[in-house]
Amino acid sequence: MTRSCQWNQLSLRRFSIMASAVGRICGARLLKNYGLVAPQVCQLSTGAQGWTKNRKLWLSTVGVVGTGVGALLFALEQSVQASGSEAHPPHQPWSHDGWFKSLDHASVRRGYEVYKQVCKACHSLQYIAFRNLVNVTHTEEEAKAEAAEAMIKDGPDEEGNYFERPGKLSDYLPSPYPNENAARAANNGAYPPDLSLICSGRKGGEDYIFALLTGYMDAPAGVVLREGQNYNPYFPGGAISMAQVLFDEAAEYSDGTPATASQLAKDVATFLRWCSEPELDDRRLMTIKAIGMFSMLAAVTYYFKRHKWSTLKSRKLAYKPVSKK
Amino acid sequence: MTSVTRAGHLAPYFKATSSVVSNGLKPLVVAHTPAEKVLVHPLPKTSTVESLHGSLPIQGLKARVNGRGPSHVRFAHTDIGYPDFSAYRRKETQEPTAKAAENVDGRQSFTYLIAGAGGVAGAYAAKSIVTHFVSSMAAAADVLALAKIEIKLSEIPEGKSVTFKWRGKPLFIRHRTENEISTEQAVPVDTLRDPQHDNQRTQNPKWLVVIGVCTHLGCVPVANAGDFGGYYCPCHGSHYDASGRIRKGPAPLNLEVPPHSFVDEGLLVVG
Amino acid sequence: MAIWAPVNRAFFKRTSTYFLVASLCTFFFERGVDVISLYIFESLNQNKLWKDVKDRFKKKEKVEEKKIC
Repeated sequence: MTRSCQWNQLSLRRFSIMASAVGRICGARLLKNYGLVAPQVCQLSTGAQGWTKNRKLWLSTVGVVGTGVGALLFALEQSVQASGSEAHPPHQPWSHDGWFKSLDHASVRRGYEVYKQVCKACHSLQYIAFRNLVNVTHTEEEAKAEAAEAMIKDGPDEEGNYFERPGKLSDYLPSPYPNENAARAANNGAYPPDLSLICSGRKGGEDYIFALLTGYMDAPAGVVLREGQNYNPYFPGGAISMAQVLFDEAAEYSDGTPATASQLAKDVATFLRWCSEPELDDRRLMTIKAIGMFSMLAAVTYYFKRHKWSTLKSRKLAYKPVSKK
Repeated sequence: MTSVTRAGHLAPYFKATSSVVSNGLKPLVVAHTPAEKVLVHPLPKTSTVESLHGSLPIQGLKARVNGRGPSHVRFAHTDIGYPDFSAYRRKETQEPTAKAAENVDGRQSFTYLIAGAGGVAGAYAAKSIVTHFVSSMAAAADVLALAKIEIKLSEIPEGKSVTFKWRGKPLFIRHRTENEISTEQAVPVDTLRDPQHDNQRTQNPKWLVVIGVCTHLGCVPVANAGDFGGYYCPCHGSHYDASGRIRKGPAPLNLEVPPHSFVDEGLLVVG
Repeated sequence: MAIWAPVNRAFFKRTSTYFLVASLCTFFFERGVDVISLYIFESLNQNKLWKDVKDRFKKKEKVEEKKIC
């Protein structure tokens, strides 16, 4: 009888040492060695019986408050979406949608041609340089030719005057207006936004741009437009100062693709997605690499967890709670 | 159950292993002794390794069932069954008749191989992270784009020096005449303050490419002026010849020649 | 397990050789990962990347030049 009792103590002690080691590894204090039998018995289970009242209260408060804040944020976000009167752009099947899908560079190239022939009249693209086009939409020679077509303001020269010169690869795309005030003055007080980051800057991204460019219509009854304004249901408020610019054959493609209005809109939206995220292709490639590497590391980690834990896992523990008598 | 299982060759037959740990706990039942009769307290009954050792049935333990049957000792007088640990045991050691020494190489190598694969993948990941951070300290793409300039030589008439801007400094490109070339070639090197032959300073004798910063105090020299027909610094009167070499005045060195190359006919790349 | 014994003895037993082998393998592994993932990326995005697309725009120009001549 005494022998069995001693053995019980021994095994309990051993268990508590193991448990505290586990606790140290996991950083969890749940399995802390309290030196008494009763708490240890409690802590064998993963339930919450062993928790103190304070801890229970604290954790449930955190849970309730966290859920509440999350729900509030979600509700606020949803209500903002629902409050406007504008139409939601339908989702289009973009060729760069998906984890591994690169941009369609033919489309990006055509989109640049649309920008050059149509958009450039009013919109700047000031964060894109001609060198960015190299090996994305143009070969180096083509990009140099594109740059040389543009006149870039430079200076001051030796006499202190500003002058214009043909562009180089290191130049940024020239803006149609010298500053924002000039742009407003030329456009009835509306400022044509810079298009460099427009795809990331507008809710809906390329879907919004496509819907906006193809969504012009006559104003419904009751909507009053000021002079120079047009009605577009996808534009917040409906009244947009930009007129419809994309019609069939509004631009010409160098690869001979038929230039329908929707083709023009699709290509320019793809081009503007590239402007906003020139690193998109690199990111897609990085996704492939990351999935490969992390799945390999996960397999190694799984094997090593089992390897290192096998001594702990293949161990039998027996204990018998000691009665208080 | 405890030290018994240390017998090495028996190990595969035991389902569980553990070692003796001293607990240092006080006994749960304290012997009650009347205080006035006993002068010397009895030693407290402790459960140390030593005290427990005697009560363990390890002496004279013998496997009587010639290795086949259950040779473990059960201390718990309960119905606790032995769990099945085969999920945690390697295939090679599942069979009780297999010899561990025969397949130890395979088992160890496999684990080493997996560890090595993890290390290799980790090194790859670490390297790419480090290179990302280090390359963020490199020059930005827009700066690099300005580091090289291309110059069309056909735009520069013979006998003229044209100024360009390169990396924030003035750059002189001089289309030299035959006369200037022959004069500069003929200058004896040992008479110069900073001895350099004309051929050392030009790749194509027709073209002189120098940075237009006076080596004295950094003024910009004036082209086609001075006693030697090259450059003249108006600040302190340094005279450079048509090869950009210092000939007279306070400047210590010749005008600096930047790295440049003639890519093809009529195109010069500086940088 | 006859295959494993020499491998184990030659490469894994000694920590120094183990590290040497691992760091040597890293070079090949890096190259392999880069090549394979680029191959996957390019085969998933055939006819979309610039290297596949650029001829479409080039040919057109050449044809135009010939017409002018």
